[in-house]
Amino acid sequence: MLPHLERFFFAPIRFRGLFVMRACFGLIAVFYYLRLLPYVQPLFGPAGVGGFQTAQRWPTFPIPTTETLEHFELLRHIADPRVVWVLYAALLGSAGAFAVGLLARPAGIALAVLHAVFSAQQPTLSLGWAQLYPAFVLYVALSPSGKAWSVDAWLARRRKQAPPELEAFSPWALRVLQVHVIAMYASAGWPRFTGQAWLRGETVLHAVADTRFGRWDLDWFSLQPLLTAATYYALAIEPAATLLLPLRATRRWCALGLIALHLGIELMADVGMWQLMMATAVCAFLPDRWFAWIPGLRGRDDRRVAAT
Amino acid sequence: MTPPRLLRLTGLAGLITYCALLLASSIPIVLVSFKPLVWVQLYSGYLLHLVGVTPGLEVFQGHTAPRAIHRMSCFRITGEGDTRLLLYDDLERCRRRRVDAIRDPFQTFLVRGLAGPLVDIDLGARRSLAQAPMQPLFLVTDYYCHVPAAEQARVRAVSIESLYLGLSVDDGSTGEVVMRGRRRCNRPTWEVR
Repeated sequence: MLPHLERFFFAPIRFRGLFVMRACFGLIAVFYYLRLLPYVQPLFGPAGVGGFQTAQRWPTFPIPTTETLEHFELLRHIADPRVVWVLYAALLGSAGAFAVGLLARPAGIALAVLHAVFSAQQPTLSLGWAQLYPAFVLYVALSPSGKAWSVDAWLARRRKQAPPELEAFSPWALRVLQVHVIAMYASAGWPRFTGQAWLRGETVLHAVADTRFGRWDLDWFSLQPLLTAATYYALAIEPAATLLLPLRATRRWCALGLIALHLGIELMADVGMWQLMMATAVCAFLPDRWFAWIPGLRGRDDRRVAAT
Repeated sequence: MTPPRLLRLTGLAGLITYCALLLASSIPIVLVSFKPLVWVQLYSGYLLHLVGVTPGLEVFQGHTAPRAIHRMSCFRITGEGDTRLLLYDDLERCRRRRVDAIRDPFQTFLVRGLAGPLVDIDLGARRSLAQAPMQPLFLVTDYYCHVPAAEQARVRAVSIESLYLGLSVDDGSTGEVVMRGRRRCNRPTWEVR
């Protein structure tokens, strides 16, 4: 058993999807936080909603913090709005640097920490995706995700050093990410079999017709048969993923089904960055060679050492 | 045993423990309510919580299948001081039934924070604003009590007029409810009007 586990975590693999995942995780944060730019002070500043000044005026009022990110509740203790701007700039900077692979590892670690700090402040803003995101970014940052498709690799070439090749790497951090994704689908998927709205095939109708989430003003009521089918698809594939993702034979097809599910939901509903984050994380289950067509990742030694 | 080998085995032990905690904390105990498994799930979740890690979350739980779906909520927030001051207003969006594919994040923040507490109050809930999920109502009104324009007008109370649109799952009809209330800036209580 131990040798199997040792091989699972440490036997070198080559997986070009890692570089794509790094870029996508970085871009998700850039996009999300740039949209918040006009509201940095109302949401995160000392005079903002639930900020430092409210905590001072109402010292006994239980201002909520995002669950599991309680250790990162820092902004509520900052009295100077300029410090919040500096932290926000650092967050955007680290997200951008992670996306383009500039000092990828430290940028990723900084992004995970700063995102946790900002997400801790407003529980109603992020819809839960923010709680998973730091762990996923950390796993990718701890992998050699800056070795290609990155400014780091370009700078190394310019310095006329040997360019960092897409060599096989010890995939322990990628393996942890894969386990975490499976745990996520187990947590989210299986309890749905006790949900009345799921069993009646109504959940997608609830999600798309409620404009807190739904993006489009359509006559959803008349589309109910289609939405019922979509509900049952989601009800089946997410719990099934906990069984199909670990199996080599079904892994890639299940991952494709999940990516289609997440991108489909993203098209229909706005639930923060949930769908884009999960679609990116699921890429960890795709074969290495499926990323070979991407400019900058092709034309190298194309040995078939899949991320399996 | 060589030091690199020892390091590798220590790392392996840590990785196995962490992955085991992730998987154990995601055991679907609502389906398998076997007591030892419930304990394993709870304690592994607790240990991960200590280090700030969430194994996973239930999105769209769907535990109940209400016959009316929240369709849209809009708000007009006014300050009452030396003068009456309009602080926020998107009521027109609900009147026109306007849905934006890409919406303003602050508007979404207000809808997600305020719609639930205002509906609860309208349905007769008499919970303290310090209790979940009522806190956003307190925090948003406290924010508007002290925005620079409100400070300038010496605002003493903030009132919210809310237009709620609900969709019936049974016949597809849409209903409207108007809700009004206010909070004095120096009190942590909500007055229905």
